[in-house]
Amino acid sequence: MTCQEYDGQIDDYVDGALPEPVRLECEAHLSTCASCRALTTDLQTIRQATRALEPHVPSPQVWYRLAAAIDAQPRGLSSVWLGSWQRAVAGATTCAVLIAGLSWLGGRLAPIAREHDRVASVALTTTGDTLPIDAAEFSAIEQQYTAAIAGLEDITRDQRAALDMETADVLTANLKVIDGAIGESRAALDQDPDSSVAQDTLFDALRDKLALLQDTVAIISAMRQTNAGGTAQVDTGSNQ
Amino acid sequence: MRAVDLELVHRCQHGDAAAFEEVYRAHAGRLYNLVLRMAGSAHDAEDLLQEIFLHAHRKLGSFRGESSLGTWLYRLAVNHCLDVLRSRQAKMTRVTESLDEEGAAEPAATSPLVPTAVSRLDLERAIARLPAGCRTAFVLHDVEGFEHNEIAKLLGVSEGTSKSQVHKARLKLRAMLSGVTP
Repeated sequence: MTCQEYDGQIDDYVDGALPEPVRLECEAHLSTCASCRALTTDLQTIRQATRALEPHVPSPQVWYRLAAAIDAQPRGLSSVWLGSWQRAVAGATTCAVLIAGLSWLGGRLAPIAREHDRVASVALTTTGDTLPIDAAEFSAIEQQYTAAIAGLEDITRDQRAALDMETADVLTANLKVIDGAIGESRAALDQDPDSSVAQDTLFDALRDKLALLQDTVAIISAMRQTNAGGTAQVDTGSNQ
Repeated sequence: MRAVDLELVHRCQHGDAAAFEEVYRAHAGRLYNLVLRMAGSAHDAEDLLQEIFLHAHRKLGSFRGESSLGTWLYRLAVNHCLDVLRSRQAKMTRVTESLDEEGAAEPAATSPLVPTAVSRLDLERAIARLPAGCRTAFVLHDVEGFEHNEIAKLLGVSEGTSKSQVHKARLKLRAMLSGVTP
């Protein structure tokens, strides 16, 4: 057997998938060819190491996001959002579902969930194409966001010590960016209160902030559970 | 199909959220490992995992029980990953062709180049750096244990192409793990 012929068999040889006579021919070649022997040894090493790879664990956030997405489905809020009003309230609905999904956090989130459910109920009864939304509606939705964000900020502030320094720094940096966007949107609305673009931008930024804080609270809770249980599931999930 | 699967699916089909969480808890780990290695990044893998289970939730009503729930989910995951990878790469055939043209650097040596105790982290990183096409075949064959004829059907390529891709992936891994740029 030549090196070229062996090259055509090497993977089956490494996989142990060759018929006996061919395998013996390969071994005869390997006994005389250091280069093919070295390559074979390396491929066997890689194969064994691959088989011994340890399993990874998805982060807890995957389930929270999935549960929220599933809960949102029966409400008829698909990814096809129709306009700024619908987009704003649909976002609020999603946030409400996400908040509700965090019920394991206990009573602290319950008031926020109720506030968001109220926004969600507005979403469910809205069928018109009012663009932009009027000042009263806009103010009501903004207040719901603001209240929910304030509640989560309280929790995050109280429990911040549970976060490692790197995560806390990332949180601070992201909040700064989002707060900047919120400030710019509010400034634009001050100049043109009827601008649907500015309303959308503001709601998008508020929704982003709510989602960021919500993820942070979920991470804090998971870390506390992890610490209490003496395992490292969060680390395993987030470091992949 | 196992009776416990049957009951879970029945409860899911009737809108029992806790039942679907049970399905998720039971199968997410295995699917995540598949998706992670096919996608090459944890961020993409988590997005894909969420999409797969959302898709499964929508399709549970059509689940006939002809295979186990785990097998059904696994196939759904593989197909979803392939769809995503195909859309990213335009067409798997193009990836295959480019891989065939590109070949793989094969360090010449008369003694082994790869350390016998390969670091798990190094191997994970090297797998993630493989081109998507040959990574898919490699993951399905060497990690997930599919036969080449099964991979050929899944990927819509010939059995020879599957073998060729796995071979190229192994050579690229050898080059990467021995410090030679493929």
